[in-house]
Parts: sequence; structure tokens; C-alpha cells
Amino acid sequence: MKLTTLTAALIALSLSTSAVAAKHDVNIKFSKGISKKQRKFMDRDLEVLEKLEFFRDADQETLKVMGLEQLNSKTATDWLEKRVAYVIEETDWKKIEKKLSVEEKFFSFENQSIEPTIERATSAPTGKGVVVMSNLGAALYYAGKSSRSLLSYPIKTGLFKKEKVKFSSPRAGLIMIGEGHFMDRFDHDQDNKDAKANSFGRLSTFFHEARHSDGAGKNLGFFHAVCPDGHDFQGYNACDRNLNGPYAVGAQMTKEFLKNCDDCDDVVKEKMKVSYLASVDRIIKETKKPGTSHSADVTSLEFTLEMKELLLSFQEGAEREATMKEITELKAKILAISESEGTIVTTASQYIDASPEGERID
Amino acid sequence: MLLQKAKGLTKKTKITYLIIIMAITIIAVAFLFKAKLDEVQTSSNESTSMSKPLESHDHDHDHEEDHDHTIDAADAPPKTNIIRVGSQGVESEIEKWTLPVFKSYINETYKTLPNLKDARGLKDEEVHQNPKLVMDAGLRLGSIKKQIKLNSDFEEEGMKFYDKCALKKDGLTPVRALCLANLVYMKNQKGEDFELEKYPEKVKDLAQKALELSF
Repeated sequence: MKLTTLTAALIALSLSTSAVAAKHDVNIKFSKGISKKQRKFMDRDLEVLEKLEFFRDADQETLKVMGLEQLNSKTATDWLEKRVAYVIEETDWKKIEKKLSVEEKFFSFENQSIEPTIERATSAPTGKGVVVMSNLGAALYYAGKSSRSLLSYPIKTGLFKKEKVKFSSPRAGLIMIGEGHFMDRFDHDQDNKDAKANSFGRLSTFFHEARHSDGAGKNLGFFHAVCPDGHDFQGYNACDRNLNGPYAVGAQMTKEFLKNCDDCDDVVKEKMKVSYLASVDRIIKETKKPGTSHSADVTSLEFTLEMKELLLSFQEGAEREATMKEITELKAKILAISESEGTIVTTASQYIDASPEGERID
Repeated sequence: MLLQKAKGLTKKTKITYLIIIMAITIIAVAFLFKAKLDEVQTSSNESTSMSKPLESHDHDHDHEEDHDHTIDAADAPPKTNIIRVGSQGVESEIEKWTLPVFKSYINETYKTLPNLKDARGLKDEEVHQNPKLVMDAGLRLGSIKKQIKLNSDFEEEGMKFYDKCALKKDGLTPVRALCLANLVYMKNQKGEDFELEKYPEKVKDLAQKALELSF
């Protein structure tokens, strides 16, 4: 008995040294698999957020996008905590699949019959780039919902501590971070790795990803939309067809950080500005579509377009690229004819209800 | 007290205690050593970043490795130290460039500004967050802005650059918009008339958002 007590006391003592390392009280748990260096930066970022004095009033737009009445360090950290519960290290998708368990079959999900809007990229070269951050919680919730199973994923949060995330809501809040999140080349301040501005850059990404933990039904996960023709990233799944999605959240937070960064110099501020603009540019303001009543020309082109899109999933390389180009041209042609016929329908993007479906099970 | 208690223990218990204490000591030393090592590695990375020369736009989009390309030493502006130009004004005259260096830098910047072909060649994962090529352009625009603030003699050259950059047909919209916003801001400061018709709507719309920010 004495032996056990002594051993437990010593282990507790050795563990407590790592527990006091974080200088913030933000309630987000980290996997043990995250490297110490990455953990140090994330703790630093959360500390910066928690201690940040938002000395300039927030834009009305920021409050609207975030669904907040005021913006300060408390409301900002609360916002993040509601949407992010765990952060894990970059993990191969196959490994994630292996570790997933079915907690309950035939689980009763909210909006079971409503599929979220998921747009497929039409011209992005697929392949592995550097992983920055992604919201696995929303994706795994959707995967579970599609198969009517409550999924769970184990996370080692301590030397002898394993926790289980149950994906009962997109708010399960499981975020995966990759090496890219910490690379020097994405830093706003390249002269000082520990500069607040660098924390601001990473925090904006964190807020962007956290937004994917929101939404219900058709808007579940605030999944991205395909950037329209003429956009810098046309055909990539890298835009939002709403006014308060992840890109809007990231943009507004960058703007607020910029407003409250008096010790940022001109070089840093210019980088933050371009970063803000690049996010704003991903927000699609309106969508033009051919109306239902149109000429035989449009009907015929639409049929060809459908065939080409179907073909795309079976193609690779140069052949695929050629089809993508044809698809882009066909879409432009259909829109042009519809516009000349006066049958085009323009839909303005909206602020959508961000309330999530389901509830987080702790 | 402890020694007295230890005397009453059996040999087997004493050995067990000893083994546990030794094991914990070894683990603790190993932890401390690793922590120290991590600290040394982090500070070494930081010092690398401090001494890094100004970057050029990287045309190689294979982002598997974090290798930054640099411009030729001959073209590189003299970055003498890291004294900052803060909100209170110029802290060091030493950071000022000469006009030829500034001209060379803006020419180099114009040539290396990211274009649509670069952007559309990126992999899908690289596009989800702001890609490096956009951030690199931001860094260069930042250096230009800083020099214009340090040297009012550079304003004319600076505005010419901003105009060219905003009109760059194959340029990326956020970069063009920031150039236009800088141009509009400078023209307004000088009280000069300025026609906006020649710039595309999408660039003007985004530049308007940029002008909401402080300059």
C-alpha cells in the first residue's frame, strides 16, 4: 500500500511539472502526440489571445459574423472553446480510420435526412501539400451521420490518460494541426518567431477552422464552396458561398488583430493586410445560375456539361485537365447565353444560421 | 525519521524502493535533457529566422520542405539590423535604402509578384489557407511601404510601382487590391486627383476593404 502511494505521489509530482507549463486557462486539450515545439507555440497563441486587450471597438461586421455582442479576450476564447475541444497531431487518414470506433449503431442524429451542401472542386490539382490545420470533428461527425453510427476517436492526452471524442455534433471539436501551421514562411513577422503578430496569424487560422464546427442540415460544417470562374482560385474548393463562413471569420479576426497590434511594424501590417484581403476575396457575394426556363441551346449545353462532369471522376492527368478546361468553358457559355436570354438568376449570399446540430458529449 | 522507518523495512522492499527511485530519477533526467534540447533547437531556429535575408517569390510550389529561396546577394537590399519602424516613427536611419536599391527592389518585386498561373498550379491542400506566394508578396509590399515611409523621395517611384502592380492583369486580386489601396491612400494624402476607371471592379472592391484599415 505504502509502495503504491509513494509511486503514485512521485508520478503525480513528475506529471504536475508538465501540467503547469501552459500559461493560459483556455480549456482545449492537446494530444500527447503533438511535438513540444508545436505545443509551445499553441500555448503561446492561446496565452496571447487570453491576455489580448482589444482596446479598439470591434467592427459591427465582426460581431455579426461571429454572432457575438462584444469582442474581448473572454468572448473570443469562449467562442473558440465552444468549437474546439481537442487538438491532435497530423495523422494519416488511414490511421484515423483504423482508430475510429462505432459507439452506437442507429444513433439518432438531428436532420438525419438532410444532406449538407458539398461542392466538388473542378480544377484543383489534387495531391499532398503541407498540412496547416483541419477540422476533423465536423468531417467525422458527417461520416458518422451518413452511416447512422455514432463514431468515436481515442486521444492520448497524458502519460497514462486516454480520452474519447464522440462525434455527436460538429461541435465535437477535433482539430488536426500540421507542420505548415508553424512554418516560418507563413509568419507575419519573420524577424521574431515569438512576435504577437505570428500568434495572430495562427489564431486567425484557428478561428477559421473552428467555424467548421458550426451549422446544421444543409449548412452543416460550413463546408467550402468552389470558387467561381474568374476568381484567382477558380475551380478550387476554397471559397464560401455565405457571408459568415470560415473565410469571413478568419478575415474578421485578422482585421481585429491588426487593429489591436500597435507594436506591429509596417512590414508586418502589410502582410496582415494581404492576408485579410486574401480571405475576404474567398467570400462569394453572389451566385449566378441559368434559370429553369431557357432555350434548347442551353439545355443541350447543360446536358454536355453533365456528361463531362461525370467523365471527370474517371480521368487523370492531362486528360482530366483538358476536361476541366472544357467544363469551365461550357459553364461560361451557358451563363453568357442565359444572360443574353435574360433567364439568369442571381442569388446574393446570406449570413446563415450557425447553430450546430446535436450536442457535444463530454 | 525516514531512515528510522527504512531500517524497519525488509531487504526486498528496500530494493524495490531503490529501483523505483532510480527509475524515476532516470526518467526525470531524460525529460529535463530533452526539454533543454528542444529549447536549444527552438532558439537555434529563431536565430536562423532572424538572420534570414529578404525572400523572393518562390516559383517552386513543392511545399514538402520548408526551404526559402532568396534573391541574389547583389540584388538584395542591405538589411543592416532589425531595428523597427514603429508607430512612433523612425527608430533608425540605418534602415534607409538608397534610391537605386529601392528601384532595383521594386523592379524585382514586380517581376516576382505571384500570377494566376502560379496560383492555379497549387495543390488543393495548399490553397485552403493563404498560400506562401501570397504571403511572400505581402512581405515585399511591406518592405516597399516601409521604405516609402522612411524616404519621402521614394514616393513617386513607389506610386508608379503601385499603379503597375494594381494593373497587372495576371496578378492575384488581393495583392493588386493592396497596391491600389496604397496608391489611393498616397494620392489622397497628396491631394492629387485620381481616376479609378482603368482598374477592374474586383480589384477596386477589395481595395475599398483595404482602405478601411489604418495606413
